Amino acid sequence: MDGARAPRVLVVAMDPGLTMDPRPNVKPVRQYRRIIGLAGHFAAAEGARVELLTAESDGWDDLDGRVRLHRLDRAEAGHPLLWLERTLVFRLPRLVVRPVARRGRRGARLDRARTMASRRVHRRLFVPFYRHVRPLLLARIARRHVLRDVDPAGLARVVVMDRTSVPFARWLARRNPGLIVTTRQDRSLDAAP
Amino acid sequence: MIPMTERRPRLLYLAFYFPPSRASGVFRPRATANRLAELGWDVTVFAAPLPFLHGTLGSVDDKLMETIDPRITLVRPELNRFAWQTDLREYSAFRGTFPQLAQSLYTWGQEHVFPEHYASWARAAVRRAVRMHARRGFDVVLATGNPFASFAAAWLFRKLTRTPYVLDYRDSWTLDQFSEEPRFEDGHPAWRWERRVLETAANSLFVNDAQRSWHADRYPRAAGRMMTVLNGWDADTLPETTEPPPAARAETGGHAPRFSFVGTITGQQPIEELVEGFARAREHSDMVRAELDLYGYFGFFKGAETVLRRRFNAGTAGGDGDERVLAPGVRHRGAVSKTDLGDVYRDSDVLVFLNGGGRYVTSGKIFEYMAAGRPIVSVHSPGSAAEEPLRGYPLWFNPGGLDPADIAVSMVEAAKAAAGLGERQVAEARAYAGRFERNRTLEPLVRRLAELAARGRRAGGR
Repeated sequence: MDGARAPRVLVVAMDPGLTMDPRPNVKPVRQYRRIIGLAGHFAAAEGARVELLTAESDGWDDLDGRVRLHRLDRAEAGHPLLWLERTLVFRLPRLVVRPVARRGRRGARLDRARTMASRRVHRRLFVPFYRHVRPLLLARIARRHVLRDVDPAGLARVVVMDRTSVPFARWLARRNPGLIVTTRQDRSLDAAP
Repeated sequence: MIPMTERRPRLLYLAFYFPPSRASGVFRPRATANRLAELGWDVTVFAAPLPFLHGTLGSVDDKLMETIDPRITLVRPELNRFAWQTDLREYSAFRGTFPQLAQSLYTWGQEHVFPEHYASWARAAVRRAVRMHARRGFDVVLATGNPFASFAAAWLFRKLTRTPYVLDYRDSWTLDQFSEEPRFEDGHPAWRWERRVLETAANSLFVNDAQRSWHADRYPRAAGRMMTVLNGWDADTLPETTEPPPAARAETGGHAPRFSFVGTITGQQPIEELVEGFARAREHSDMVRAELDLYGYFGFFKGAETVLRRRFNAGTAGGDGDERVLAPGVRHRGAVSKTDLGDVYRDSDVLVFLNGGGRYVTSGKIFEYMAAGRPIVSVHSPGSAAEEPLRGYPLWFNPGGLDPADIAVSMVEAAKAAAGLGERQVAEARAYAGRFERNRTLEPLVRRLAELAARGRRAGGR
């Protein structure tokens, strides 16, 4: 296949484990299979150059070798918002408790209570908030990092695999009036959006 | 017919699926609205918005619009297509920016307001109905489901305006007609809503007695107002008289028996048994050249075709790369407009009644089949609700189950019967079907609507 003229497809799967969905429709394993299967189909059967954009580092061992993986997880982890949350919720309490943590059973108990409290704050307060902010944050990172490697003007189709991917994909749609940007997982380059 | 000097009774008909939709549920509302308009009623139908039918469902037969009485007022309240949007350009700015929050709010509405994606249509319908009612009052409301949001709209409209309403269950809401089990778990809001709408309805209609009994057992306080109004065949889309089948008109030995199925192929139908049974029937010496033509769509919505086609090809190879050939002798002839069905029936020797589901599923198509005056071979599980009207039909061939060998025997017998049919036998079959002509089956509903409208006018001094 002539790589220069091959159609190009962007599969956006920022959250393949569907960790941001309170009640995901499918199990994460199945969602990974869908993404890998779809990207592989476009690469193998349609002869397309496929770019896969994700914010998850693991789970891509079975991905077709022809698919280019763009990972945003490192950029996301370094974002000031996440750094601030880790500092306030985990690091600072740990620093406060550290002097007494190794002083007998009481200290150990206090340290365990500190760990549990931090995790609870993370799960109960931060994650519900981050669920709504993360799509915007990842869209911002994607715009900065990915567009250096992927020219949206040359794309035939953008397939959006989860809700976390929506703001970035919608931004692409608004910037490129002719581009098909869809949540439909049709295995065809010409299918309607 | 209502005298011109008298004020015409005014009906609000909440029928989401109405022409040009080609969903199987449009024929009953189409016939009901036309019949009432013909009897002098002032009918206003609230139906699905066209962009939803054309763009989202892709399920339209424009010729059906020509069969709607021009005196009927058609209103199409808007529908929020949140659940169907796949093109990100259609997303609102809010959904595009905060997709998780938008989904959470939508899900909350489904769980706490009304458990159906059509709820926004019902809200819009009530808003528009109240405005129209303020200008000129409706006497009675008829709501048909699915979608069942139309029931909720009728209930809310009654709460606001005291206008009585009648519910027409074309399908059941909380009963899965195919598995014959409740569709929702205990505590699901659909149960609460169904109780609420049934208990305040002036009447509720069901398409067969089995469905009516199931609902009467569940909702005893509404049981006394439940009625069965059968489906029927529409005289305006079939010729007045029928001639014997082509096999009876052809010279002996020169005719290949023509079997036809007319309707929508769905996943619930016993497709494999039909294909196997027909293949075995073709092993009979008189049936070697027999053909089975399928007229209609695969599934009600776009996207269903591939899966259903695969079920035909699973056991047998298709033919010569022609995608219309589904199995040896079985050909998909495509969709035929309701208005052109007369020709299809005229050119068929035997009609194959392929139907999914059991005692709760009648299928409106069976009445049209009987009116065609052709031998009918049943391909459905025993105990289907369709057996009740078929029992008196003189040209019914019932294999008694889904064993392909029995289906084959019935097909061979039906083809033989078709070849020997005379005008008198066809006329007898048609005469039996006459009792299911739509205007006759609708009579109890029309009478009841007239009573309710008259009572409302007396009470309101209108």
